[in-house]
Amino acid sequence: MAIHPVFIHFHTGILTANAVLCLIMIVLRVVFREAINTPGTKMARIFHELDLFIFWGNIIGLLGLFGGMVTGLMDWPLQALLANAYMRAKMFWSIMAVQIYLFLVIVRAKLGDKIWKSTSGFMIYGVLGIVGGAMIILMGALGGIAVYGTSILEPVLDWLGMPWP
Amino acid sequence: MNSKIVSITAISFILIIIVSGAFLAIGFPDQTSECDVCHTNTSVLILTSNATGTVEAVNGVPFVISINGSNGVEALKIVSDWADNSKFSFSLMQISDGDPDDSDADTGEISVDISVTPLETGSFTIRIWVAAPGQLSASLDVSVDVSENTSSTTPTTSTTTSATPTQDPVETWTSLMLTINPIVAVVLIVLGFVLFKRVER
Repeated sequence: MAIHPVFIHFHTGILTANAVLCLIMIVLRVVFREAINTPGTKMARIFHELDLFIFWGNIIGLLGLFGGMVTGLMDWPLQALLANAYMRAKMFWSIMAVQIYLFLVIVRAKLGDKIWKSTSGFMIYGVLGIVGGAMIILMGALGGIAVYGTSILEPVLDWLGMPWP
Repeated sequence: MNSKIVSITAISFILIIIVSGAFLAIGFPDQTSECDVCHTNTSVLILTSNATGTVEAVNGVPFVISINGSNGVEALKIVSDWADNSKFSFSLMQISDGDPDDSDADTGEISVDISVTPLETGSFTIRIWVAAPGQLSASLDVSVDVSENTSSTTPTTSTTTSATPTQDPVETWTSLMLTINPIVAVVLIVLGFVLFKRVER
């Protein structure tokens, strides 16, 4: 019995939620910059909680990505995966997503929530969180097509010319 | 300063491991398992050829097999280690639904002409597998009797039209894996360095 499906849905949801939160955080950071940087304010507390959610979500998501990759290779021989264009695309984007989330986790662990105070810092951190989430959504759609033959995101995939490579 | 160096080294090391993983992920080119090792061999997928009975062929003279897969077929593959496939040379050993050589435009259906050249005489079996979403697969065996080539010259034309060779998509995938992902790793390492420098200041 395939165990890969057990390992893919939870972190897909978390990382997708994280991408949405990153977008919200960027907007909050731009609009309420002063309030966020003032300790004790309600906005600062909300910002702090959302930052923690994103950080721990990225850690759980990263572990889930590793789990998904390992179980995928446990369930199917690489030769079989390589023969399928959807699986080739999933492997390619998985490796890239792991790199991005590894970067986000290490940077946040090292710099703490100071990452949101620097202009270049919050843009890089936030945008990469959104890009990573977009990759996760696309991988989910590719997996859905591979298993069920269709996905609600098929028009998007067609527009992007996916699956590729 | 020391902690910066440690952090940058840690990021570099871990990213290198990831990139190395990408290299390792293509380290099993000799995998020759037949499709039903992982996929369910099912009659749901329809796989037929134009070969009726045993194909009579001549050593070194190409002939064409027309393969039709339908009812959800996503990919077709021929591996030289399956059955007697190593006794033949194939113009095409792998095709996915919608590839340029797929003459059937419908999704879930593959039609392809494969030029096959016998490499030695004898009675052999060519085995072809197709696979589909939902872990489905099906195989087709084509029996071929290959006789000695009594002609003094090697024929220059095949008995029917031959298929046009295409670039292997796995090769394209491999080259992109080995270029794009390392580039992303380097870009992220540089970004990490910049962030550590700017934010910690």
